[in-house]
Amino acid sequence: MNTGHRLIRWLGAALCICALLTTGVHAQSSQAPIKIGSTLALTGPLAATSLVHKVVGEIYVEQLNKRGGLLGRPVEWIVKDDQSKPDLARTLYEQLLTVDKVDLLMGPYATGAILSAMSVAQRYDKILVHHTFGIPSLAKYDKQFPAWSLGPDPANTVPTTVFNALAASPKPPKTIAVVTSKFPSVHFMSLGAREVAKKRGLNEVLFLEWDFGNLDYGPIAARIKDAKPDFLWVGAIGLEGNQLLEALNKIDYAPVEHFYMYPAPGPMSKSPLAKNALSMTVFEEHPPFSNAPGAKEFIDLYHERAAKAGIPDTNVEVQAAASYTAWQILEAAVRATNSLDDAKMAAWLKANRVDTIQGKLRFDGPSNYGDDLMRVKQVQNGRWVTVYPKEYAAPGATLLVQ
Amino acid sequence: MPFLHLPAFYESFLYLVFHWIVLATSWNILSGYSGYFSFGHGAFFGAGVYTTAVLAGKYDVPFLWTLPAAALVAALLGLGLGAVVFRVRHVRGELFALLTLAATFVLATIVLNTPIDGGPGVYLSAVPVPKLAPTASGAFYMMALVLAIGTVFIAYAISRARLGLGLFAIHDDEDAAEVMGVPTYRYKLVAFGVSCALAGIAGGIQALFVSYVTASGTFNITVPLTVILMSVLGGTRSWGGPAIGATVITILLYATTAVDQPVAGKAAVGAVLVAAILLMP
Amino acid sequence: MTFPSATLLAQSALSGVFIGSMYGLLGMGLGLAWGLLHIINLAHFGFAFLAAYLCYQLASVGGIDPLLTLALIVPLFFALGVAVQWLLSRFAVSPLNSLLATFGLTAIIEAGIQYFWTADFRKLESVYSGQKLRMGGLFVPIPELLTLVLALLLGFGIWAAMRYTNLGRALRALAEDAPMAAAFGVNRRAHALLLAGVCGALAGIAGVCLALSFTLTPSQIYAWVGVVFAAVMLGGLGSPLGPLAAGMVVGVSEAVTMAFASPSWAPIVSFSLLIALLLLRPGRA
Repeated sequence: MNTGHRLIRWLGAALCICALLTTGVHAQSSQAPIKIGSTLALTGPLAATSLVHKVVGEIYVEQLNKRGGLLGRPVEWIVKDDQSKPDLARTLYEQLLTVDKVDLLMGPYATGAILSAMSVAQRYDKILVHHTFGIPSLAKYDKQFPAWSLGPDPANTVPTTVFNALAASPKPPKTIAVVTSKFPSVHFMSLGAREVAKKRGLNEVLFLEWDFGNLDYGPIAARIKDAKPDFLWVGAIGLEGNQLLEALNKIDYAPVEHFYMYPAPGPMSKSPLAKNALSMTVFEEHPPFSNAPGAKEFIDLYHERAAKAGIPDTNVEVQAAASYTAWQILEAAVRATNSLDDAKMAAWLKANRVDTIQGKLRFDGPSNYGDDLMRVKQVQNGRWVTVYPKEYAAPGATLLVQ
Repeated sequence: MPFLHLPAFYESFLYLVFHWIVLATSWNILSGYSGYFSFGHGAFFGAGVYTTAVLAGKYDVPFLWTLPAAALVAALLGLGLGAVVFRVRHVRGELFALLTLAATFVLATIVLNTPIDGGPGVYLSAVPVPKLAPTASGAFYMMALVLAIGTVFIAYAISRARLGLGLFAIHDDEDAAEVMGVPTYRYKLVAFGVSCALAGIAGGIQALFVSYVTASGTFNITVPLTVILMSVLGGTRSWGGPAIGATVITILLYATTAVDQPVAGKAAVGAVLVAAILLMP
Repeated sequence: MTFPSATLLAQSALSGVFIGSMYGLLGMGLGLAWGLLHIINLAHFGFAFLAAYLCYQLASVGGIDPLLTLALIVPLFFALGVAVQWLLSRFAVSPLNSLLATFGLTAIIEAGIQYFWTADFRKLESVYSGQKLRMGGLFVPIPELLTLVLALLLGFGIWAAMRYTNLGRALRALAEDAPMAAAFGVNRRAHALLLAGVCGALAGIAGVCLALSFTLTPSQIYAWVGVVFAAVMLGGLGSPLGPLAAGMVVGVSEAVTMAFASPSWAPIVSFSLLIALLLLRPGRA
């Protein structure tokens, strides 16, 4: 085998590709813009939701520049594709900081990549605002700030909210089944739900876990049907919730009351099987959320841009709202301190509250988490509407039971 | 390199290149030389990842000490599997590929369902990066560089030694090799052990590099598929081929991270791969 | 662990049979090409998903019955299979390099799917979705039943064709000893193209079944690779029925485990069983 020739041939090909692909990328320039860098999983398994964050980021930066940018300078967002790989995210954040020399960072999509970004941010002492971090106890860096408002102890507080909602419903459940994927950010919540259910005296009739990436939900569905719980807690990420619902339907079973953490928002609300399905939210397209300053404009813009980007479900819900919130936090910190100094911004964020479309956020709790702002929402007539607590419920909406 | 004061990104990127060089070259030592295609390199890589993750993350063992352990665990796993599999005469070719693939699923299930991981993943934020260079990326770069050079050297040495000749003979015709007096069982076992140990060390370093380790992220089809692609691209019978394949593919994949249309970039990479294979002499 | 009821056990086993038939159907074309043409066609998965998306598009936007889309998908993917085989043989690509080239092709297909349909989830809602038969306490979903029936028909059909027709015998002869077969006047190129076309069509049919039963997203292409490869290798390369049987073994053993124990342990049972089968199986060299 002629290794030498192969080497030359291959390096030649690789260089051509690099040259082709990188030209035109660094073409923008103006009066020294403020550069904000991030990665998103634009390809690979996490690409579906990442697109939401790309659209929101573009909207926000555009709005920001219309308002005159930051510190009198225009803002430029550099977003790279981490291909849904945490190790690539790490290297890309290093590239953003040391080669692209960005002034500020914005977090990538999902817990694994955010932890990678966090370790880079920590080494360079940069502030990192992120929108989709699912396990607060792992956020150990003091200059990271979450926009996914779970509070410091979501395994306890989130299920408590859910069970409060159920207790206030027309038909409070007496038995519960907890079924969960072993995907880290939903698994610990499901374990928390078991604890809370036990404390509240619910009778657990079924608990089971499956491997993330499972293809056959038939037997799981059959066990749920066998157990006949009043309330079904499903810890399922993305596609899994729909797959389980389809499997349940195949054996002619519709759960009485059912909750999903974290479903793919669009596909679940559109599915005829997801009638009355419950989930968590920090923002939906109805009052009181849509009364927040800036929310209306954002919702309208998002509808337009999401449709243009080919996203099937153009409603603003948790993902898009958390993304927008993250940018609001970053902007607030820069404006309040009138600087790009990471230490100053971090100190200000910890001492102050930030107005966002989710409400007022604080970052003075453990791991810089503030209040658990998760509310309960339900699929009603093909749409997600918030049903609990009452102050946040859509006008006239209540938790429906079959 | 760490002392050249280049931006840390280059160290971090070269780390990725070296990481894949180690995985592809180590895979090639058994699978390329002897023709026993393993689909289970992810298992041995993963064994290394979790050995380091558990020792350093849960038992506070200094990171560098966990690397020999990672090598050992991966090697023992490989030797155990090999000791059974290589004794069974008909397990050759695709059946060996199948066995190693199945072993990956079994190992992944064990890790996911026992306290080794159990579901939440292992987070290594508290584990200090050894001070081998002025920066953390420099340290990773140094470790991967040393390991890559070592791995390629081992692959070279084996290809020139009696072991390598024996493996090549097994590749061409195992029965004939046996008749000619090549201790095929022992050779395959040794090659498998070395291959797995190296993958284990690469896994150990990777655990700290990503710093958050999950079962689904570690044991997936990506690792075995990628190392096979890299080795085949560079040439499986040469000691240096997999390193070249690994370099080219890592660069290709990285080339599309910063483009405006990553989806189109992905298609372009695919097209280059197809064109290269078709036009390769 | 409590002992599950008979209904639960039967319903789970049935589910395993169905998923196993999906593994088998996906593996059929892959294994035939691997065994008889010496092409390890990773793009088989890409083709199947492309067919699934086409079926989704035609059925949900065009309003065509998903089964009728087969009339378009089968010839189209037959042609695609022929085209790929023509390219690979035109450039005399070795089996290993075929893995590489078809991996590149899969990346192109995946990118194409993401470009046209985005990475968001797509579920085909058709007249078949949600339809089921009731047999005693058991429910049999129609889309899955269709998959099973198609897999069995195709598996036995191809098996019979390979055994009892001249064409089939010629194909097997080519795979075993190409020069000898050529000496007996078998046209190698034409036969290879034909078989590759059949494998392509099988990917297309598997794709329609995927669209009927599963929610689609581009990265799911890779979710099936591991298990289906295992089924193909266990079932025997070049055999149409082997992957189906092996797929059922994996599917049913996992499903029954899930009914008894924690579903997250299921792979250990199926794959340990597979390892044991492989090691203890009497000499198939």
